Amino acid sequence: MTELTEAEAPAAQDMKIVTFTLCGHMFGIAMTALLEIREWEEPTPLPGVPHYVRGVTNLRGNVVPVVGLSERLGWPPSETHARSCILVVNLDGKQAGFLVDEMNDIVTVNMAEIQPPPALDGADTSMIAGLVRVVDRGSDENETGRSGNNAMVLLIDVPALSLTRHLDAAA
Amino acid sequence: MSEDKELDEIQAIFFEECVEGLGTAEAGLTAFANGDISAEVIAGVFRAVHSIKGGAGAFGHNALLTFAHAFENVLDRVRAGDIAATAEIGQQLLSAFDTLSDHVSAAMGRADVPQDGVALAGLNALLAGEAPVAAPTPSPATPEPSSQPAEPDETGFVPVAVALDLEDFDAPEVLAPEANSDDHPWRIAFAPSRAAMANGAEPLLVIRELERMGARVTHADLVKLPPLRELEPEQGYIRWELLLDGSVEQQELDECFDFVAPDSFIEYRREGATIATANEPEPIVASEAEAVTAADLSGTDEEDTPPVSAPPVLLIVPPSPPPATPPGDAKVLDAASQTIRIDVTRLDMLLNLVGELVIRNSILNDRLAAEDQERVELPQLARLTREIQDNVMSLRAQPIRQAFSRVPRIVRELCAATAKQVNLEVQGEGTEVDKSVIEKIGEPLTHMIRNAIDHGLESAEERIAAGKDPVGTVRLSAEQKGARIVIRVADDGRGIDRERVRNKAIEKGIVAADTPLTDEDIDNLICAPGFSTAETISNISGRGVGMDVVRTNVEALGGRIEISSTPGQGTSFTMVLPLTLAILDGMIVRIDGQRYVVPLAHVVESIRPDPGQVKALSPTSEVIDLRGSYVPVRRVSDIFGLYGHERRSPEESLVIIAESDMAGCIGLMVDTIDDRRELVVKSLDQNLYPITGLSGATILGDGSIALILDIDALVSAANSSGARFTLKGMAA
Repeated sequence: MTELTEAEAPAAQDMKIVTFTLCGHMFGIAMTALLEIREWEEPTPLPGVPHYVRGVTNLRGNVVPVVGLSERLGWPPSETHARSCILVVNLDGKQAGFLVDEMNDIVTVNMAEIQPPPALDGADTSMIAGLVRVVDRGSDENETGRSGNNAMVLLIDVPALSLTRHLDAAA
Repeated sequence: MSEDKELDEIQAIFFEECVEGLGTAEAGLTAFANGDISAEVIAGVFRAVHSIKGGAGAFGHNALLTFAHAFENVLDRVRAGDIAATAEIGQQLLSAFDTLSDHVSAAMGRADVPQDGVALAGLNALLAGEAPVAAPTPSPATPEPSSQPAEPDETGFVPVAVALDLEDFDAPEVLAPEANSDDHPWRIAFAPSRAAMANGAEPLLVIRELERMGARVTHADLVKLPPLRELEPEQGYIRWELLLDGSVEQQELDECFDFVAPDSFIEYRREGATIATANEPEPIVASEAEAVTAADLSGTDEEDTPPVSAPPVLLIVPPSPPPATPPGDAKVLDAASQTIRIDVTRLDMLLNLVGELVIRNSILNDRLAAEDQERVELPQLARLTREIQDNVMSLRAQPIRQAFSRVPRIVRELCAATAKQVNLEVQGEGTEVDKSVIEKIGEPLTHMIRNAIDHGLESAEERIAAGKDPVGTVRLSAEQKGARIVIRVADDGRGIDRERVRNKAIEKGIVAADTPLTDEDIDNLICAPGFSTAETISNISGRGVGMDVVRTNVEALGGRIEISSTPGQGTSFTMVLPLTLAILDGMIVRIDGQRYVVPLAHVVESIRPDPGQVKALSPTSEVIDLRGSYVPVRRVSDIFGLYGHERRSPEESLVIIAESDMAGCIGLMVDTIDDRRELVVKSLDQNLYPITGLSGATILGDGSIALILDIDALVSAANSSGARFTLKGMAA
């Protein structure tokens, strides 16, 4: 998260995050990493890649890998449907697409309100940068099961997904 | 004129290399001055300065050459350890480096030649082993005898950088209309171009206008007029010559031709000297001009070309008042700057976007109702986007001529410097290579040519004694071989003296004296850093950096260098380079619903197997009976382990026999062959990483991605995993 802190520091400790749903849970990434949001399109499968790399797709003439973010984080694989989206993000200068179940909202959060993920036994939280509470304007309570209109957002540490490092190792 | 432009282009490349070289040298020296003194750092600085020196010599920038040579001498001693590599020395080298940068700026015409007396003295003091002078007192402006870059040197080269400086054109003209005082009559020649006609320019109106000013037509040149049935009404065939009273101002004439397309032939001069050529002559058949240029380039005897001189016409601007500059003038101005150097990544971005435009266009077309598709706008749009795509594509791939065009000059100058006679043969200069390749091979090419002439070829006397033609031959060729570009520099000289190379390498400590070396190993020693067999260090070669630079650059391009030599018959250096962003001729095949590309260069044939022609060796391996030879057959889906669909029987499939240079043949079983077309190769490692078995991906007409199979990898994988059957193996 350090780089986000630096990027957003001048804006009075506020940062914008994009929230989306994976397996019924709300996740968020910093707007600064996001390049664009695209409709889901079945990518071309690749041989010899980790299971969460769903394939490659054509992004305006660029060949970009599409990653099942849910699988990457250890959740069951996303089923694709009409509201599935691809979040195109910038990862150390490389582009990658993340398959997410549903787009939610763009919200501004205060950096000070972000809590580090509590250390739990056996839970791999290395890819979670922090937890933050946001006012959920998108989905209703039944779906997310949160009291009030507040929802917990798991902020993803995009560099920690280490796609490039992991992929490099696979090569 | 064309040679002039060519020279400017080559010079521009050299200057760009200079700037790059300076950057490298500066970074290295800064590290050096800060105490990071490693052999690599020094070698890097040395290479950069060496290359600058080489280019300076080739283009006759004597002041720069002299200084770079001195600089290099010091660096050489530092590299050899004769001068202790201390931080103080680093500091002193850095200040000398600044003078070197000034020299480069001066050569580029951006600054005056620096007073390098102090810096030179400092370098020489270092060479002489004196302690660095702490603060050298600037001796009052000692004029440097060599600092006269604007003077034509013995090679006849005149720097024409002035023509590039657009600001100069705003300055009052040298040949201002004062010359008009003597009212010699005007002679006007006018031949409208095709473009002028297409623009709707009416030659008759122009001539009427001139007649109104008092001109009369003295001659109408009808030579180019074809027979009536071949006549194209849009083409301009006639050239008129007119005579006009000298009292008319040139400006009035300029206005008269304002609206004629700028590529028309327009020339007016006073009886006597040429005053203004408003535009370059444009032959009616444009390709004619190109053909001539190409012929010139491929001509081997470059010695006949007259010494370059800057035609004064280039610098003359019709003396119209600055505010009322008609658009035509811009054309005259850019005579010297008609090429723009563009960052390749920007070109790629454009190419990607245009590709997407074409795809979206066809998708749009598919979504429209049939009657809407018939509307004229859509096909027009499609055609237009296609045309844009073709144009952008052609920007990226450039004929290698650009890199080769600097060679004849280098050869000429080396001939003069070494007193050898050389006949240069150039082949395949039309081979299209990627822009990045052209940009990077310039320097290695220079070193290879230099090496061939200085080391490879013997002197005329030696050649006669050896019973050879006294004129040596250097053959420069380029060809595309599959997905590789092969550039070869071959000479018919003495060949590599392997004994001498070996001894020298041992002497320089590059190899141990008792290392067993094959001929090939010895040949490759030439590319070792610091290796040189030349007895004397000259401006041309002998530092032992040259081939090291070649190898470094070629490897940076992902290529390799091959050396072959026959004693007494010559040596050839071959650069084998990949085609980055190559346009690949590929066969699009379908396997289990996915499309793949098989590079056509690897395809031998495709077969629909007869029943029983494909035989199973084991549950997982099959061979095809190919006219008596058994070739292993693989299913791509099996190799990649991607799909678990039902397997088609061989009789329902097609088998593509693909051949790899290195590992023999393989049969690839595919469902259907969809298409065969030219494709743009995209690398997978741009956003991902290289995947074994794939050489890249391409984007098909509908926007989807097809993976390109790496036949070499597939064949060797197939042949190493149990099924070791090549055509050769089974033929016995």
